[in-house]
Amino acid sequence: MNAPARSALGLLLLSAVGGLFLTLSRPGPSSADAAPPRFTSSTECRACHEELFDEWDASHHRLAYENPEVRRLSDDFRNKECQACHLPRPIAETGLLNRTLPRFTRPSEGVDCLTCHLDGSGRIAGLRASDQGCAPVANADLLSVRGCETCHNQHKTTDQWRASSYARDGITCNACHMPQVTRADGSLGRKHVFEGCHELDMLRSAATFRARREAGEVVVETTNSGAGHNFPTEERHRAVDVLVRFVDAAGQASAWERVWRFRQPYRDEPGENTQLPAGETHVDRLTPPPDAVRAELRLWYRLNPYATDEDEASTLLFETEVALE
Amino acid sequence: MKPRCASWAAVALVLASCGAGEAPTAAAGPSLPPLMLSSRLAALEELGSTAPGVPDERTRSELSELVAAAYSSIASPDMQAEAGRWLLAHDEVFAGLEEGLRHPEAAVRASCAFQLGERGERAAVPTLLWRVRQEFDPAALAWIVAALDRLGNRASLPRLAELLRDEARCESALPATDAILLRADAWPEERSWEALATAVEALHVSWRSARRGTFEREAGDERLHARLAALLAGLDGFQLKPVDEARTAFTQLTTLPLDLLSLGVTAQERYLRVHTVEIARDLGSLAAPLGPELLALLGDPVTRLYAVEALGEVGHAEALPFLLVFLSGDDLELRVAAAMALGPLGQESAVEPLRAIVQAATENPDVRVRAAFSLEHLTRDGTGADLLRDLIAREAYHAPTLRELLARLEPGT
Ligand code: HEC
Ligand code: HEC
Ligand code: HEC
Ligand code: HEC
Ligand code: HEC
Repeated sequence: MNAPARSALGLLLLSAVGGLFLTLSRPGPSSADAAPPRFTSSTECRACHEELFDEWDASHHRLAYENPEVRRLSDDFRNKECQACHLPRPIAETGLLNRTLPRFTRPSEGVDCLTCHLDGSGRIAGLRASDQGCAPVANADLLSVRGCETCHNQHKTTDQWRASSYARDGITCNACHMPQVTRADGSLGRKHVFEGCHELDMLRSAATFRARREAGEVVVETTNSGAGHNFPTEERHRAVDVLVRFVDAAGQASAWERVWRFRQPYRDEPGENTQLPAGETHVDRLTPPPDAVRAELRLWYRLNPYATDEDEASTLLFETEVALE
Repeated sequence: MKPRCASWAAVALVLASCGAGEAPTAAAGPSLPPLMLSSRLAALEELGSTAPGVPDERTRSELSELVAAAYSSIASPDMQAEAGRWLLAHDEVFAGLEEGLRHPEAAVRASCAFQLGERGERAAVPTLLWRVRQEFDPAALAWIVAALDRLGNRASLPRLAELLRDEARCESALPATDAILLRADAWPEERSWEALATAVEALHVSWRSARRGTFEREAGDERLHARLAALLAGLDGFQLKPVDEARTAFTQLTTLPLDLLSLGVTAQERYLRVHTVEIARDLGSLAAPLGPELLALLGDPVTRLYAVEALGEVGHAEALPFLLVFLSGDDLELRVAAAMALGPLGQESAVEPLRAIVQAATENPDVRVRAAFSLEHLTRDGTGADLLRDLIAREAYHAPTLRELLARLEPGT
């Protein structure tokens, strides 16, 4: 996150803390007849869920309305349709699987705590009910895959997951995107950074990349071994490329050449969907030039299909080589 | 904050009574028009069923071969001429040319656009408008703009002006520019790229002021109307592409199909309704005849927020008392939406309530920022703009939002 955004959030925080004392200054656990606290901003959660708040603050969910990439493509959110998911009102307000409504308030909070955790009656929804703190009610449905699906199926990510073995085995989105964490106070929780394709370890965990020599050919296998949906999953921008170059006995290397691209064509872009479904393997068979002594192979991840290898939107995931002598 | 006078209280009562979405009962003072939503999708699909459609697989591949042979640079001139005759005599020539707008070769796209224009295929206007957004080849883009011009639509001329001012790409745009300016008898005296761009822009401006707010169907427009009905029906969904396509078309047409838009605004189908309200917002005063229907939507919890903004942009003065009640109510999102809409609505009597909010430093910042925008919009006395600039300087509110509001206050936007 850039510095100005953070300090703006800081100021909002300061103003929110004032409000917090008005609503939450009751000592000890709330008694049964006292009204449960009502929340109007995610900054109010920080007072009691500080570490979790900081995780979310560093997430792409938090960034969703400030993301420069999104702002550019949405005409600075003149297109309110984009705002419906990138600065949403709570999903419970419109109901699971229905398109959320755009929010006009708290622009620095993007997809925030209230989006996912406010239930239809204005209470906080958790997995367990409690009369402590924010007095959450239990609403597992809201926090299930169907909650994510409300926003994440426009690019078919949840459909892809449902068609995979992960769905059959009960390995949900949260198993991979909200891993368990032990926080500073020793409590167990679920990480709220929602790491995805902007994080190297997460990206590397998606695939395995192998190459071998077989009957005069170089056989390259790319497997979606760790993403619970297609790899790459998002339709509009992402691409994953298999690149090769051959080196001769004098050490001369040919130029890098793309042998395969995994990608869902966007809108009017020609071509078939070549994203790699969960668990599947794609095989490329290459015929090396006669004088080659070595094949070098790379698997690149690109946030957008135009990115060159030098671009910061490109990430080198794996490289390997095959001796040909 | 409480309503301040008797008639406001009456409005508040009316609004409270329609909180759950049912039509309000009559009360003293202004009341909302009744909310009358009906299912519209089937009717629109029916209307749209006569729109030029996609031919079957075999015909499509036949057509795409003809299109390629007629216009691709790899075909010989003889072959081009022959294939061109076959293509133009084909029953499905419209579909072939429209499909050709997506051909991988830019020369083919340009030729297909040219032909659609020459043949007066007005039903292709929505597709051509959509292609303007997607096209990156300068010559093809210029010919698409020229085809639209030929069909009476000058919405995309600013894109052409942009090309003409781009040193690297202006040459490729010249032939199409020539065609447009000659047809309009608007060739500038001065022979410079800048003069051409200015001339093209002038055509756009006069077209814009001549756009009509009622749809008088002209002969030959049935197919366009049907195509638009089909596009509108496509709004009732989750996928962004049909939504974008329909939005692009409806906001840039020459003759506005207000009859169709009115069906959308009063549709029971939720997405259809929401998207059409946004289209009305983008059309601004051109959509003024939809004002009463938009006003009724204040009684609809789902569309209400969108309708508030649209009422401001179309300038429906009857919305004033309702927006003032929202502004002082306790639904925060509605307060923000009303604060934002009151400026564009353009009614003097909103000035004092807005000023009160701007001056109250303890007000909710989301509301206060929008109130500052609207106050400035109405008074132009600098009070609102100063607050927005001050908040930027102190990094005290989301900077992109503040900058966007200031930009919208610039004259000419
Ligand atoms: C006054 C302190 C306080 C504030 C403020 C607060 N919480 Fe809590 N919250 C707690 C405590 C304490 C618990 C643990 C309750 C228990 O385990 O019995 C809790 C539990 C939860 C749970 C349930 C976890 C589970 O096990 O299912 C969720 C979800 C939650 N909080 C979300 C929020 C959100 C979102 C906000 C801000 C809108 C918020 N909280 C604000 C103190 C607070
Ligand atoms: C239905 C909810 C929804 C709507 C509506 C929506 N988005 Fe998104 N957007 C998402 C989700 C979910 C992601 C996360 C990536 C994914 O889906 O794989 C995302 C990701 C993105 C990204 C990638 C961000 C990055 O950092 O790489 C861009 C850009 C984007 N959206 C732009 C837009 C634009 C422009 C619009 C409006 C035309 C829009 N979105 C409308 C849900 C939505
Ligand atoms: C209200 C809509 C909404 C809901 C509900 C939602 N998301 Fe998202 N999510 C988004 C948007 C929008 C983005 C893209 C933000 C951006 O980069 O601009 C996103 C991005 C992500 C990313 C990608 C982060 C990255 O770095 O690329 C992951 C992973 C993710 N969400 C997981 C989840 C999971 C798991 C759930 C359910 C527990 C969920 N989301 C619920 C809207 C939503
Ligand atoms: C088995 C682990 C696993 C499961 C289950 C899983 N994911 Fe992912 N997800 C990944 C990995 C690894 C990546 C990074 C590779 C990629 O972007 O395709 C990823 C990436 C993403 C992204 C970033 C896409 C982008 O391009 O912006 C989103 C969004 C996302 N997942 C959402 C979900 C949702 C929603 C679910 C549940 C329906 C889910 N994931 C289930 C492992 C998983
Ligand atoms: C994109 C949706 C989403 C957002 C945004 C989100 N959460 Fe959660 N949260 C979840 C889900 C889903 C779970 C349940 C995970 C599980 O156990 O399967 C959860 C669990 C929790 C828990 C219990 C687990 C733990 O780590 O302690 C708390 C407390 C909580 N959230 C608070 C918050 C707060 C506070 C915020 C904002 C700073 C927030 N959440 C933002 C979806 C979200």
